[in-house]
Amino acid sequence: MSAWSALLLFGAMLALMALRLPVWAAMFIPGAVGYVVLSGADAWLAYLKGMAFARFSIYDLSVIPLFLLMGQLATQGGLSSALFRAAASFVGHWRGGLAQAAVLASAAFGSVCGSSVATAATIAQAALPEMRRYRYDGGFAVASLAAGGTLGILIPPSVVLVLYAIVAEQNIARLFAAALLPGVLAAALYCVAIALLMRRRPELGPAEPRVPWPQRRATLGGVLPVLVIFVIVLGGIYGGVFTATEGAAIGVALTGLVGLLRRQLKAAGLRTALLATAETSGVIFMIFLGADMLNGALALTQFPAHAAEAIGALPWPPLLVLALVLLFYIVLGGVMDELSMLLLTLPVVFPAVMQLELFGLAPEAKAIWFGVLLLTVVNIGLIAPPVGLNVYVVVALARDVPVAQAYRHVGAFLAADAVRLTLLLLVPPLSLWLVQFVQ
Amino acid sequence: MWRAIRAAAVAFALVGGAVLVLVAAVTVVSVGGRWLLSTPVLGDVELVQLGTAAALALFLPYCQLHGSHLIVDIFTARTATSAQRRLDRMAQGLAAVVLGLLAARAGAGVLDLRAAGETSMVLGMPLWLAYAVMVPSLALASLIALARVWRHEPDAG
Repeated sequence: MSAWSALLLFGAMLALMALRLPVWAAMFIPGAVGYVVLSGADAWLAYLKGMAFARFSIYDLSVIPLFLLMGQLATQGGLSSALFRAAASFVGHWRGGLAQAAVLASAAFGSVCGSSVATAATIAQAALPEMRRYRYDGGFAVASLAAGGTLGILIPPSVVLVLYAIVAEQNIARLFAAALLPGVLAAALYCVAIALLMRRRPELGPAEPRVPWPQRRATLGGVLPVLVIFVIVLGGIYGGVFTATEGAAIGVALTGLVGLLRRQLKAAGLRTALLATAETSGVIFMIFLGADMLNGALALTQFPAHAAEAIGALPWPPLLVLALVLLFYIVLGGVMDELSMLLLTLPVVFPAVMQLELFGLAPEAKAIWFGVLLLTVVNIGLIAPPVGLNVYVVVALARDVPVAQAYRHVGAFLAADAVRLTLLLLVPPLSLWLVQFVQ
Repeated sequence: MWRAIRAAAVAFALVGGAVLVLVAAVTVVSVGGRWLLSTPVLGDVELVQLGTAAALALFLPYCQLHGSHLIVDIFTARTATSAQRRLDRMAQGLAAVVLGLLAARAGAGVLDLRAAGETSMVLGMPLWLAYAVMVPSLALASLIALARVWRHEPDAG
């Protein structure tokens, strides 16, 4: 019985999504109907009184708008273009070097920005004109910028990890520490993927002239502020000097200060940064509200608890079950946006995974490791067809590259992701080794 | 009328952004105070919670104005544009209803809180004040969704 009502709720959600309802409303409306049917209109109306405020005023979630603002200030302060210029002066003279420079700049920008879409957009704005000047293939340029952009969430800070930390009740600082090495690995594998692709298709990314050493050194001045901000903010969070929210607030202050000192952040830029933060934060928190409503109804059906038990008790090898869970996410990520996907499924999947016996890991280590695996799956969803959000973002900026042409070159990056996911799945210490140093 | 609504949504978002900057500033001062003088700002956690909640609410009308909310468009990618537009209008209408309902219920929540006289733990601020920001924000978002049933184009503001 419970399974049928849960299935009905999910089906209604997917149907409403297909009818172009905003994702938050497609979750909210079936959730509301389910809630009224299962526990009555009075209970529902009482729940509605407080639900928005209850969700918006969670202390740990305030890091999300703060980190988004920090990333926007870094963009308006000219930090992303400084990063790209520096990276391009070092590797731009290789074939495909500008694409690798975009990946490296994205990785560096990801260390002060928690959003993949924002990272993709800001690096693309710096890199696309340069790539166009050297006659890069449009599809290849878009694919490398979209893939590079995912480093925004892969390298801490990360909005997705914050969300996971809240839902799974895990320590944000430890999750940020766990994601660091896998994030660096992701950037390295993307560069390798580009190099291998260049061997087969050198015409995709022509080399630009070599930049002499004195000029290269000069570009490093633009990298220094990012490094300092990253060390202070993440170092402080890792070292237990301050909470993630406090770190994000300090990051906002430092990034704003750097922008002012570099004389790049002006009133118009500040306005743009605030409005962009408003937009992304509003979108994320409405998705929270929609998912809260649907999850409230799903919990009433008691389906999540039953399903979690059933998955945990499957008579298959635990590692196979985990691999199937990740595969399920990759498929689901093809039709759903990644945030609502995690919010709706984690109540089932997280307790199920916690029941699995994996490499003899303690519960907390297992939870943190699973968070890093999920992050990788989300990153695949952001660039894989049919709906890779990052690809759409960069395509919109490039204007003259069709989505299909971009997807043709995403394969190399997806292969790199597959290699990384396999490594992370088989070698948990890659994620867990750094965690021991967190205070 | 539409221009006034649009200006209001942008103003709400900018005020929300300013509140967020203020939240960051209070937090930085608090961390600095704790470090240098071992006296953090009294009630800093509360200020962050209430400030962030107010800022997030103030952001919502702008999202509605700008058409920022995610939609899944792969299922309708091959449908005629006019049919897509009809669906989008219907979606705006439904969003207007839900947002309006949320605004009304948040209003009822404010009255409850005021009657109960609930205050924040450390600073003793009346909770209904922070809560009250939700009502005009959700109402304006609902109004914009309603207006966009007739006025399709998303607006950059």
